[in-house]
Amino acid sequence: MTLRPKPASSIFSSRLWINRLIKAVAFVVCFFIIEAEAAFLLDPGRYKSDFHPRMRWEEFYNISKNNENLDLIFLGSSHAYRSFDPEIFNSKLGINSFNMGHSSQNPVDSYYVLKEVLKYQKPKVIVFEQYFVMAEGEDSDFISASYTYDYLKPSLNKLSCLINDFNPKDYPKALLMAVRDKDNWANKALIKANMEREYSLFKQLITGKKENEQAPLESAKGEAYQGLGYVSNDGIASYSELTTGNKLKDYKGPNWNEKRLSYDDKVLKLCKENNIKVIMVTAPLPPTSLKLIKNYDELHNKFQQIADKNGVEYIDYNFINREKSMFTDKDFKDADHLNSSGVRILDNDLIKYIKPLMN
Amino acid sequence: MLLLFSCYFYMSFVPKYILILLFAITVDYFAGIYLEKLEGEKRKLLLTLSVLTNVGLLFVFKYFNFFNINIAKLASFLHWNYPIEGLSIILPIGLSFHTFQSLSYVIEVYRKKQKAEKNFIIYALYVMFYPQLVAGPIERPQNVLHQFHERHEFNFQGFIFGLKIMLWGFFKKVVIADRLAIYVNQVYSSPERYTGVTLVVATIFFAFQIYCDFSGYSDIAIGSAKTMGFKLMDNFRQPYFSKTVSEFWRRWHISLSTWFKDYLYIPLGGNRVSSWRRNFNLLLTFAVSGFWHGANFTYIIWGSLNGIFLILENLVRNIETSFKSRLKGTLGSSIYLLIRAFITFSLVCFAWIFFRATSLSSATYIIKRMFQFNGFGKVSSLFGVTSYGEFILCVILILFLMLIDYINIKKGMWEFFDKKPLALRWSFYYLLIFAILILGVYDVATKTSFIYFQF
Repeated sequence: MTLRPKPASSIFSSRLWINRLIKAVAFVVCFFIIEAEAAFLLDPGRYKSDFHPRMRWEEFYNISKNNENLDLIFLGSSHAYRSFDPEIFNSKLGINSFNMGHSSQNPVDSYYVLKEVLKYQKPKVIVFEQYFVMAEGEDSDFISASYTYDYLKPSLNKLSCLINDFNPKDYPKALLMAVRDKDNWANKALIKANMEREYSLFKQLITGKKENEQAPLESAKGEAYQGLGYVSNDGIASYSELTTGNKLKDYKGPNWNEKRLSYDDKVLKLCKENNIKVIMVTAPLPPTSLKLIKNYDELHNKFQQIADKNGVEYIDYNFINREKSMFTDKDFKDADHLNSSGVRILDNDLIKYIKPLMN
Repeated sequence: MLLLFSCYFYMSFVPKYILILLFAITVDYFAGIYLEKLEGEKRKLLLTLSVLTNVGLLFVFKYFNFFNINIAKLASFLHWNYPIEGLSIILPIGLSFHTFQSLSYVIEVYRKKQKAEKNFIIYALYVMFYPQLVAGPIERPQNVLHQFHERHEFNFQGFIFGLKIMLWGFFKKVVIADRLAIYVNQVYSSPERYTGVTLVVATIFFAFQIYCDFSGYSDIAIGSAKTMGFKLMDNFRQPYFSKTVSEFWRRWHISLSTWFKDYLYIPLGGNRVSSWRRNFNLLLTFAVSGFWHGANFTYIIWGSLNGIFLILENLVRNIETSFKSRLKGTLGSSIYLLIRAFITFSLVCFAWIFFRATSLSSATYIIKRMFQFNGFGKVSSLFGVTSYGEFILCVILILFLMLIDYINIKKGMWEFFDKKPLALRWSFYYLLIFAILILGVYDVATKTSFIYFQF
């Protein structure tokens, strides 16, 4: 059988289309290169050593890369990463733990964080922190979603996080950092600093000499990323922070968000499927702040219901503190977060609930 | 498929209003068919019926409350009892545009310049074709109806060209118009807080804002139609390079200007009447054009002012022609053209004050303040509205726009860039793309809808 040669026009046309395809690919590649450069210049400081959402994930991936197993994982909002110090649990229980909480982490974020964690780790226990504010409000919070999405490795989980954790109108912002930071276009000082950083990185690349890496910074508020996901703070809440300036002063909730609440169930179900024991914990509020919330029992009952429905234990330190007075206002750095002394009291108490689950 | 998509597009604004549109389409579809069949007085009657249906819809949704409020004011002045209440309805999006497009079809069929469309789907698509449904260009049946009958195969070059036009349109809308809008909105919302010089600059900014807003939309519409192989008419041709107001109107919102010329100005007698009648026709046409834009006296005055400018131009035309012929070939001729362009731009901007101001009293206040010597203020007061960087960016964007428009006049923007090396062409595309992404104003809090959507 002989093959008939292709007509000239067809060869021409296929060549033409290949050329067009190459051009299209080149155009897209150049687009992403320029976008990356623009994003670099407009970066407000996510690369800095006090930006713990990034540092936490980097440390987690490093630990996983070194085949170190994590037995205990903490999930939740700032009430998690400011309340549960893994070092205390590790030293008292002889385990490895890690705090995967981040600012404003809501149950939807927690779900995707946990899914990512489970790709690398087989924890025995999850401490799932519950702060009622995180189960209220809008479906999506761009900042907290980005703290999850930005650091997930490319996977279906990341895609799913993009689709479910962001409002569709925010997809361009989520996908393109240059769009996210576009409002910095007029910040000459920032752009200049980023250009200098780029030059220094370029110099390092050419010379092979690494400049001294910056040690983790202590922020102006006196807090520092201590490693293993935990952020410490030695400050004490001022009187005005707890009274006139208290952000819970005008609390009018609960304004439950059904999507977020349903993700509480999804997290607990995912743990069950992976034979992971769970404790739901609410970190304490300063007694002065708690008094401002008239309907706290209603908030507590909601989480108790979720815990009961899923057969897990729920420990609410606001309830415990009412009876035992474990914490005073001096154990808090502001209107709703523990300081280092408060963390020690809380963690040493929580150990007794976790210990039986580790066996 | 296109019709379904167009329906979906329209329904994404206020879904139930699709029924109004379908009603108008059905009436005009049958009117077209019977206009072709009937003869004599019956044709006129049918045309009147169709026109009344379309204008009636416009009246109910757009003008009823305007007339009602003003009649009520008059009645109250005369101490009469006037019990009719206003309607609380939202203006269907793009009503003025598709009504005029429908009217154009019916009138052309009546004039026997267009055959009646027998296919309902095609006719519905003529009215509802989504790129130009909500803000034009207001097409003529001769331009587009036949295109809906033709088979459109994918054309790569046409597709890319369409994307380029869209890109330029998005740039004008999101980067220039919406950024200028921040300054303009702030100044025009409380003019008493700003000096005369700031009001002048805000008005100039508005001139460019509305140009970029509307021509940006037209470009997006023309470009997106082009990607599918359809050709829509040009709607803008670098209007701010006009040397006369009449030239401005040949370059600004061409589809509407020609609509009024063909269906109002010429039927009124056009230029073939006595000079006073011609001037009256001009004034009436422009006043109606102003009223088309919105049910408010500010729009009527804006339109009328443009009409007056044209009349004045007609009056001095003979003197100007002899003056120009004396300057011909000298440097003075170029200087004269520059001065003429400046005067035209100033007159157009003066009229824009009425278009943009929220009320007549606000417009007159702004004009007074602009011409008050002691209220004019220092140049530094310009930067008190937005940040210094924001202001400078606005100026740079306007200069960039004028440069591209200048290239457009001389060589044609895309012809100019298409002849350049690949690296330069792509640099220009990336410049536009990244300007849209980074300098574009599209956050929910600050984003501005297309100005002409309200008409």
